[in-house]
Amino acid sequence: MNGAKLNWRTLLIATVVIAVVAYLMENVLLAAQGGALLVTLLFWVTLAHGPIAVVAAADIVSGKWIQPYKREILSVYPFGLVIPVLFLAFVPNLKYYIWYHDQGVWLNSTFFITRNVVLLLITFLLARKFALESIKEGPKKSTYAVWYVLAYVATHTIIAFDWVMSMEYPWISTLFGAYFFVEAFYAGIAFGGVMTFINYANFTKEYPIKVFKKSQMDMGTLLFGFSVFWAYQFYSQYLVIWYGNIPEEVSFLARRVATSPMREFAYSVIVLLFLIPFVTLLFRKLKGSPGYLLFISLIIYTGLLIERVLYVEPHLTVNPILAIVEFALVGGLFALIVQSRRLFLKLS
Amino acid sequence: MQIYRFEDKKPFMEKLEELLKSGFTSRQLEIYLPHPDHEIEELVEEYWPKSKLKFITLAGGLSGCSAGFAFTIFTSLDWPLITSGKPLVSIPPYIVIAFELTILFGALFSLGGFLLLSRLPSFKQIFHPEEYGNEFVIKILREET
Repeated sequence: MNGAKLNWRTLLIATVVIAVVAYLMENVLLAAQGGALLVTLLFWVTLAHGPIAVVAAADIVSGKWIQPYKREILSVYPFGLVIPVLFLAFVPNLKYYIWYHDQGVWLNSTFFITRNVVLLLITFLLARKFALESIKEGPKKSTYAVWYVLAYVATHTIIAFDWVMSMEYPWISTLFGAYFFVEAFYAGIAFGGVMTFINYANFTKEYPIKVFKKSQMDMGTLLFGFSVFWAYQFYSQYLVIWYGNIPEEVSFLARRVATSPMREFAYSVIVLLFLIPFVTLLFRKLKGSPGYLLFISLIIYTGLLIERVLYVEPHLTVNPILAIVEFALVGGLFALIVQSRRLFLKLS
Repeated sequence: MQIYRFEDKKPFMEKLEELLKSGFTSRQLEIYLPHPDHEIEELVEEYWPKSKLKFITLAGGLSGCSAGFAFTIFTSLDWPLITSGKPLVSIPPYIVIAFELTILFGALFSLGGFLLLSRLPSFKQIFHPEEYGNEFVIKILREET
């Protein structure tokens, strides 16, 4: 791929510019509540950490199938640096959180900001260590992979508990953290699906077609498997709330399915994240088609995006224009990072 | 009956491909391997029709799912007991039963289907008196018609 390329300096400048633009749009220009920025953060954080977690998991179990995809998937690791900077742009909007005016020991703005920034930075640093070691097949790649996975799980659990669950106070769910890091992993596999299509010509040039097709099939099967796992997690949470029927728990679901069009969006999440991938990826032919893998990955991303809007919208207003602008700016930066993999992964 | 015996996989694969290309069907050829091998499986799958086992498994899964819902709905209606103010027929908890029966029926149908398609149990099919050790063997049962 040709086109614009980034280095660490330009990446940092672009990130700070986007963060400042987002801050100004949310707080000065429109006095919005930061909902659009939170949706953008919640969506893109899955793509900052999830793809690396997929490679780390494969490296821990010495999975050979990941080999053809490794370089493309690991190329996203610098994006992990963008998230804490954008998070800082969101910080002024913490005042809209229900706990802000009655702070405790855990839900305390200073501690809230510190733990999130520290965890995001640790995850980024471990992702970098792991990516550089894994790409050269170094002896320490499994050790770094384990450390990265631990940091990834901790970070996404805290993101789920802090960014989303604390808006819903007093609603609590211990499963919510796991739900988030599984979703990020799902998004990571879907990124493999996108790269299958975009980079197909290079993949088949570099690897014998039979070898690559096997990896592609494994990628499709993992997507299928995670659609089931996602449904399992969703259902585990839903069934307990449904059975318990306690007002503070039911309110989480009721807020999202009581009125139209939230109800339709809520149902569409199940269709996009479970039904469509599950039914269609049963077919070998579809798993073998790069175009279809791209399509299903985009379906999954749409489902994740709608779900993020549903988490945020009942509490912070999501301005659609701001959401589109911020989403596109961060998405553009993500694409540039993937394009600049040769520099970030120190490839010759 | 003709028998080809090979020490190595490569010449065996070449001969097998040649025979498959000339139109030998699964009823005319028998293959003996010292160990399972995906490459040989893939080669054979290219020429011979694919197994219908997956359709039998699907039928099992679908009937298990329907049986799970039918069973739970029928028992709830047959002996009505309202619990926690929930509707008599409440789908969310029934999904668990339907899911378990989908797996159970799917697995049982798969086993049954495998036995049926392999024409088992039959001692003639299970036990082969011939012993080829580490060799790759192709046996032509009947010449091409």
